[in-house]
Amino acid sequence: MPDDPNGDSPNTQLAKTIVEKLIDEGLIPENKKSELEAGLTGSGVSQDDWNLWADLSSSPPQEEEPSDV
Amino acid sequence: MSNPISQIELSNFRGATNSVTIDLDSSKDMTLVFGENGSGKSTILDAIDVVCNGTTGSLQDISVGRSAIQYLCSLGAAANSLNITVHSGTDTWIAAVQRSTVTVTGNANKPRVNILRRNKILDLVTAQPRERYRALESFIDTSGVESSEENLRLKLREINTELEKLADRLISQKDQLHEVWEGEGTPGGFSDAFEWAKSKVSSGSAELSAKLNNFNSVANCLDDATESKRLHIEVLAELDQANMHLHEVKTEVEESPGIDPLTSIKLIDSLSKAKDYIDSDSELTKCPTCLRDIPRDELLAIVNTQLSEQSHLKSLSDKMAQANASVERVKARVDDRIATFIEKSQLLAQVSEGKGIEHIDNLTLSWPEWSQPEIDVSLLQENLQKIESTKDDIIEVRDNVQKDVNQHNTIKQLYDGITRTENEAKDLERIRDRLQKCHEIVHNMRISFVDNILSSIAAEANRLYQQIHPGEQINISALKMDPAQRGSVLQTGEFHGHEEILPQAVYSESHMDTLGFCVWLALAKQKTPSDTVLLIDDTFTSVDNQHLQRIIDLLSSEAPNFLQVILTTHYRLWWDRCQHSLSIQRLQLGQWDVSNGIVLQNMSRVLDQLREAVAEPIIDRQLISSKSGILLENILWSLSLVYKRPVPATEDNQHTLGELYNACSRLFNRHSLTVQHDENWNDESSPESWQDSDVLSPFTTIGQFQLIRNQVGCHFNEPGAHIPDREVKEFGMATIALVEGICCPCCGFLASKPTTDGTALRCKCPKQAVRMTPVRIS
Repeated sequence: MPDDPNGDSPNTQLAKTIVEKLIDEGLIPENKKSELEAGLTGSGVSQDDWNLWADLSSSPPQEEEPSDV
Repeated sequence: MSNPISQIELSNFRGATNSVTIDLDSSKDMTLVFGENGSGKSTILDAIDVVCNGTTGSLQDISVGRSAIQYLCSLGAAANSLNITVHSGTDTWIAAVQRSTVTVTGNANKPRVNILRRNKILDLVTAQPRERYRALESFIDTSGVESSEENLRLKLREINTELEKLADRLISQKDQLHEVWEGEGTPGGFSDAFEWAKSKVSSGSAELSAKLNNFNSVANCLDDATESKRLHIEVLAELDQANMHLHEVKTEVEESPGIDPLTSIKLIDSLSKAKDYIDSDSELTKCPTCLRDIPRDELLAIVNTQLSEQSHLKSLSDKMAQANASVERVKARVDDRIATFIEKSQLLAQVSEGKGIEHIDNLTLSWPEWSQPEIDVSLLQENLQKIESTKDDIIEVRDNVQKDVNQHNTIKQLYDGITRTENEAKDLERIRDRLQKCHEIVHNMRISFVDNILSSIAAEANRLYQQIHPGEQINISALKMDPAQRGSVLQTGEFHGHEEILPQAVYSESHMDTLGFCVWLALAKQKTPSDTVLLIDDTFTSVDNQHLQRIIDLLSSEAPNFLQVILTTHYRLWWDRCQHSLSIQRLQLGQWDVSNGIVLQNMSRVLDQLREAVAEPIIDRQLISSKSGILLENILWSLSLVYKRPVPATEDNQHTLGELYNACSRLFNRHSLTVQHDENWNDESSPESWQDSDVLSPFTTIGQFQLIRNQVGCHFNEPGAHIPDREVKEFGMATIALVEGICCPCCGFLASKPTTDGTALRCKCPKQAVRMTPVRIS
């Protein structure tokens, strides 16, 4: 597996594939993609962030209140 | 995209005691620097290492005492005279010593340089797993993901601990509820205490609370009414006492002798007023009543005398007044307390009537019309007395209701607690399950990713290794992370059917050398090789000739993958074998001494030298003959090896040109050796265009003139003197034609490797611009 054509480090290459997988599986909210990638490629995703994102992704969607007609 | 290094200038750097400039031909795939030991080969590569990698070159890992810097300077030279200048494209980097430190100036985009030295070749393959990991770390560094995975694992552990605590709490809460249920006699109709509690909680406590409020209101109002009644009675007693005292004072006045008490009291009153009047008027001269002239002091003395005589009566008068006032005050209080009693009674009536308080309802009380001005207090007292008689019963009922409320609250509290704990646990389990899946994905993908990289490196290293050791049943089977040790890479190999062996324990020294080289080369290919300069510093000392040729072939085929390859060697055989290659620049170093330092010459191919020699108007007969002979012996020897042609056996494996020619003549004459060249080998945009080379004609010509090789090229003799220049020149030109016709125009080597379909032989360079048939002869 030669160097990534984009010049990404092995950690970044791996992080990108993990992010895609976790989001595809619905385990992390889509809107947390950049934060997750930054954590995986940086100093690491904190325990609190893992907890929060898993909570957000698994919480039942809040019902929208009917709008006034 | 980096440019290859085009020139290196050295002054007072290690062996370069004199300034020297090395021009590198960037059009070549590889530069071969040949020199005997101590000629300055390592100095050249060290210079590149110092500039591009910021190291101290080959001194980097050697114990050289205080500072390696002083040894970078040529011995005896001033430190500030050291200079290394490296040119690449339009960029230039200059290394110099400043304040005992080597400083490199130039832009940051230095070529990426990987250097392999003899003393480092075994580092990776013989290293401990942890050191091997460090060497491979830049290829498999997934620290950010690892750190995230660790945090994920810790969070999972924390949540599991929390879930265990919640489970314990839930058990405790359910036990408590069960005890309450049992305390209530395990009411039927429910599967368990929780169902019972649920029923109790859903039925609510509003009715109980209302009932309790009623009883509390009645109890409180009853207490207030009772207290107001007590105060009313108390003030009536005070009134009796006040009246009694008044009566006593009156009796005392009436019993005073000779006096009309009422008149006397009035007189005393008048006298007192008169005295006050006189006291207030100091100018008084007449009696204010009769208006007779009278001295004031005298008049005052008369009044005082009269008052003195009536002092007893005065005292009685005061007592009478006080007693009357006291009676009036107490009467006022009696009125207040009656009003309060009525008010409290009314409140009691309001909170007790029709509130379902059985004990009071059974009394059938008759309450007055509260709006009437006169309320029958005695009726109120009577009612209150009746209610008071039931007070204990009311309090008892009230306390029982309070117990019921308390019990309900306890059940609700436990029920809510259990529900809360269960919900909390469900939430945590939901998050835990998600995190568990996240952890599995992150962990498995990381392991798989790293294993793939290591497998890729191992596979590439093995592929390279097999080119050097084909069919020898040895290879490196795997590089893999040690599952038991963080940051460790294990290495295993195969050896003649034995798997999972440690190569360093089984392989020979030369096999370990080539293994180390292949692993190093495989790693170098991992990081954008097209931007990487490889420096190989006289690495191979333990390989035999056969393996050396394979290493040359391997490097020739791999070199085009890299930006530049610079190889040093003291093997003259290596030098000789590369002499035909167009893709290799050959630099030869002369013998080193202190005064001259490094001396070098850019050597052209022997073929080019021969071509120049025959082109001269006045030819150098001996030069043409000897160079032709060397070229022919080289080519025909290689051809004999390819086709396994028989040559006479000799102890030193030396053969004359004639013996080699005879060995190959059947190949040309009987087996129709055919050689083709791809005319478009140097133009990647064009398809292959194979053209036959006429090799038979020059071979035949050489056969006619082969004695020239010795007679003109090697000896002083008469037959040689009779050979005309024309024949010498023809011999040289036939040699050139044969070499050009039979060798690859790119690498300069013969076709020796069967094509995949087995129909022809090809050379081993990437261009493969030559093919030859037959593949073999019997």
